[in-house]
Amino acid sequence: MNCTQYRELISARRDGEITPDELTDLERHLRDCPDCRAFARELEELGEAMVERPRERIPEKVERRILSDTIGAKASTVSRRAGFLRGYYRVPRSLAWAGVIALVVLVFFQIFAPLSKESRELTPAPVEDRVSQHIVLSQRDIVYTHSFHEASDNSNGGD
Amino acid sequence: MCLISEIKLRRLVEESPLDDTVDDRFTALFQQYKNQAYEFAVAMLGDRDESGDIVQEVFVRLYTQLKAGTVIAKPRSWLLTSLRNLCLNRLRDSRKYVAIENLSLPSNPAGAPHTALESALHSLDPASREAIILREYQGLSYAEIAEMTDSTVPAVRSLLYRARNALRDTYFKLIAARKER
Repeated sequence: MNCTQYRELISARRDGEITPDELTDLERHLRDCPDCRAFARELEELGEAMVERPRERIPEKVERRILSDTIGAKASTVSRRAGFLRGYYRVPRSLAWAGVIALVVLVFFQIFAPLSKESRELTPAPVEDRVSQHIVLSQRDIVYTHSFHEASDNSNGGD
Repeated sequence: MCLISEIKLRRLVEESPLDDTVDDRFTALFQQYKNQAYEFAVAMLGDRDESGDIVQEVFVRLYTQLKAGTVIAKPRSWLLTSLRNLCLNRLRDSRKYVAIENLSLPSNPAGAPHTALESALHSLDPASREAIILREYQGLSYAEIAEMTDSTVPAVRSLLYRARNALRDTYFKLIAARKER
């Protein structure tokens, strides 16, 4: 291995991404190579500068902007859409859609699904049929009543 | 048929998190990663205003994804990858502009002077700069960097060595020049 390759190992050693064999080899080389030792020292110094760098913090105005574009936007949409229901009767959108779909399917089957034989038989007759049936029965009652009176008159007259 | 509908309905309910859960999850992720994301963008672009815009764009995207019910298994990785792509696009666009106007370091807010480290970092090509930032600032392993940059661990190791070597050269030159002044 040449110095360039050993310097790659120095860089990897800093990150803990070096095998034990490579480490042994590198340490042996560093004992004999002042240039690579100087490189290792400078890399350590650079590393310290990076660790001690001033940390960036997100500015408050950016943070406010992000929150208003996300959670804030949703809150304002809810208040616009929900009106007086705001916050009280909120239902997950998925459940609301499932409810709507279930309702549509129910209505569809009520309108278009053919009735079974049993249910057809149980269905009451139309009003006209029931009226005409009633008339026929009433007439029969009148005939019976009339014939009953006639019979009773005849038996009384016979006495 | 009823069974299938029931299963579909149950999946629909389970996969779509409640609005409150999405907000809570987003807030937790935002609080956890907001500064890391901003630091990544500033280190990549060297411009705090532009970095603010990019971080905003990424978090709005994250919120949209969460609202759509997308499961983000590794949110940190997702955020960094999104940021990285946006930053590289910006750098690509600005390079066209800078090529015409002559290259200079991006501005620092309120006219604050760049540190030697910042200046040295921005002298690197975007790939080298990105490798340094992901490793030194974000603490990613070689395997994570390789995954994010669609590379290999040996390639990342090699790239980091070259990046550090270039950074070291510029950094110590700048330190020496400032001492001479």
